[in-house]
Amino acid sequence: MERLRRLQQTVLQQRDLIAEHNDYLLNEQRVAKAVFDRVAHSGCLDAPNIRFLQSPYALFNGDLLLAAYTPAGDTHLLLADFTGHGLPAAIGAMPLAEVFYSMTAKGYGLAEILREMNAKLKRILPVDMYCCATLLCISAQRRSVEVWNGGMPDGYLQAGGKRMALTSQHLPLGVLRADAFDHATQVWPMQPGDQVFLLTDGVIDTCGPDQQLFGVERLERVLDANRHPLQLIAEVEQALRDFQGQARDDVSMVQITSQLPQFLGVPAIVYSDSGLCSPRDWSSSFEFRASTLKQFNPLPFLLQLLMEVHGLRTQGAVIHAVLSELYSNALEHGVLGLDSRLKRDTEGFAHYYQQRRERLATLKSGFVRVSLQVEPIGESGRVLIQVEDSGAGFDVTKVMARPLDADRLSGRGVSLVRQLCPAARWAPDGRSATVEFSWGGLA
Amino acid sequence: MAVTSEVSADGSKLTIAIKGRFDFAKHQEFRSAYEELRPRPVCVIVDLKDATYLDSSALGMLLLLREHVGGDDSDIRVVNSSPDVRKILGISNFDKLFDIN
Repeated sequence: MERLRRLQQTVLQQRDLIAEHNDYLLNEQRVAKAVFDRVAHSGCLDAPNIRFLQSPYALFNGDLLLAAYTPAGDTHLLLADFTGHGLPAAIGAMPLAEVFYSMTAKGYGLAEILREMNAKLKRILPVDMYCCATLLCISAQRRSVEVWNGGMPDGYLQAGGKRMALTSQHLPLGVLRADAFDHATQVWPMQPGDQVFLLTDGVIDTCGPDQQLFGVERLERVLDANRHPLQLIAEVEQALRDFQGQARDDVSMVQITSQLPQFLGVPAIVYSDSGLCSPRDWSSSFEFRASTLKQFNPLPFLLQLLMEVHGLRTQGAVIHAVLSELYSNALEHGVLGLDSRLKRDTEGFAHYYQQRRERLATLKSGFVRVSLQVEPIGESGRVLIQVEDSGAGFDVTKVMARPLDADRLSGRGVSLVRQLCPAARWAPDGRSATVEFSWGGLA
Repeated sequence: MAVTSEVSADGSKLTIAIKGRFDFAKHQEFRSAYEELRPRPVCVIVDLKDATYLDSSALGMLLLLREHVGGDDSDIRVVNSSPDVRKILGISNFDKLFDIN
C-alpha cells in the first residue's frame, strides 16, 4: 500500500513538472517568435505583388521567408529552410535576416549577400547544420530575375506562357568555407506580370496515407492545371489536403509577380545624424581596375558616400538605379565588350550572363572610372556623376535615335537611365556618361 | 542492426552500411560506427544499398563524418544509392563534397 501511495505521488509530481516545463517552453517560443517577427517582418512581404503561405510557427520548423526592396527599387526575396526542427533550426534565422535586410538596404547585390550569409552561417552553425536557400533579385525595370538556389526544391518561373524550373545549382548555405563558396547566379528574362513560385520541401515531402510522397509530378500537375496565377497557392494547398487529409505545418510557399511601377523614391536607410554636417562642396574620382572589377562591387560604397550629402537623400533610389545602370553598362559593354543584342531571347539571356562570368574571371586589363562632383549653389546644389570605361565605346547617335521602348529586353540600360534622368548625356565616343542631380529647388 | 560497419584488415578502410530510413533516429549508431576507431580510417565507404530514404539530418550526419575524417582532404564514397536517394543528394549538390556513384 505504501509503495502504491509513493508511486502515485511520484507520477503526480512528474506530471506537474512536465506541465511546468511545457509552459516554460511555450513561453520561450512565444518570446522568441515575438522578437524574431520584429526582425523578419520588417521587409515588404505584405506588398500586393507577393503572396505566401506559411505556418505561424514556421520559424520553429526552420523555414524562413524574407523580402525587401533594394535602393534601386528591385525586390530581393529569400526562402530558406534550416536543417532540423525547434529552437536549433530557428537560431540561425536571426543572423540570416539581419544580413539580408541590412545588405539589401545598402545596395549590395546577390553575390555579396550570399557570401556574407554563407560565411556567417559557416562560422556559427555546428558542422551538421546548414541552410537550404533560394535567393532572388526581381527587377521589373531590367525585365529580369537573378536566381541562386542551394539545396532547395525546384522553384518555377512562369514567363511569357512558359514554365521553367529554377533548379538547385549549389550546396546549401553554411556548408562550404568562404574560399570554396560559389555565389554564381543565373539570370533569366522576366517581364512585368511574369511570376516566380517557390516552395520548401515540406510540400513535395508531404506524406499520403500509404506512406507515398506528394512528389514533384503531382505538384507539376497542379501547376499545369492552374488557370489563375493568383489562385495557385490555394490550389497547391488544396491538393495537399486532398492527398493527405490534413495540412502539415512545415509547408512554405511564396509567389511573386514582377510589377511596374517599382518602388522608387523612399529612402531605404534610416539616417540618425543631426543634418548639420553635410558635405556640400567636394569632388572625388575613383578608378576601379581589372583585379578589383573581378570581385568588388563599388556601388554600395559610392551610394553611401553620396548619401552623406543630405540634399540628395530623397533621390537616393533614383541615384542608385542610375548609377547601377551606368556602372553595369561600363563594366559589361565597355570593359568586357559584351553585346547587349545577345539578350534578345531566353537562351541569349543565359548566354550573355555566362559570357559575363567567363570574361570577368579572365579579365587582365581595363577600368571603370567614377567621378563625383558636388557643388553648392546658394542654399541649393547639385552633383555631377561621370562614369567612364576603357572599352571601345558605342555609336551614341544611333543608340539615342532608338525610341524609349519599354518592352525590349536588350539595351535596357541606356533607355532606363534616360527615363530616370532626362539630363543624362554621353560623350560622342560612347566611353563616358554624365548625369546630374540637383537639390533644394534646383530643377 | 540498421547500421553495420566493417573495417579492412589494415584499418585504413571503413565501410558503413545503412538499412531502412536514414534519418535522425540513426544518429547515435552512425556516429559510433566511426568515432572511436583508431587509427582513423583513410577512406570511408557509405553503402546505401538498403537505405530507403534519406532526410536532411542524414545529410548533416554525412557532413559530420566528413569533418571527422579530414574535411576537404577526406575520401568518402557514397555507393549503391537508389534513384530516390540520389535525387535527394543531387538537390543538395552533395556530389560536390562526396564521391557519389
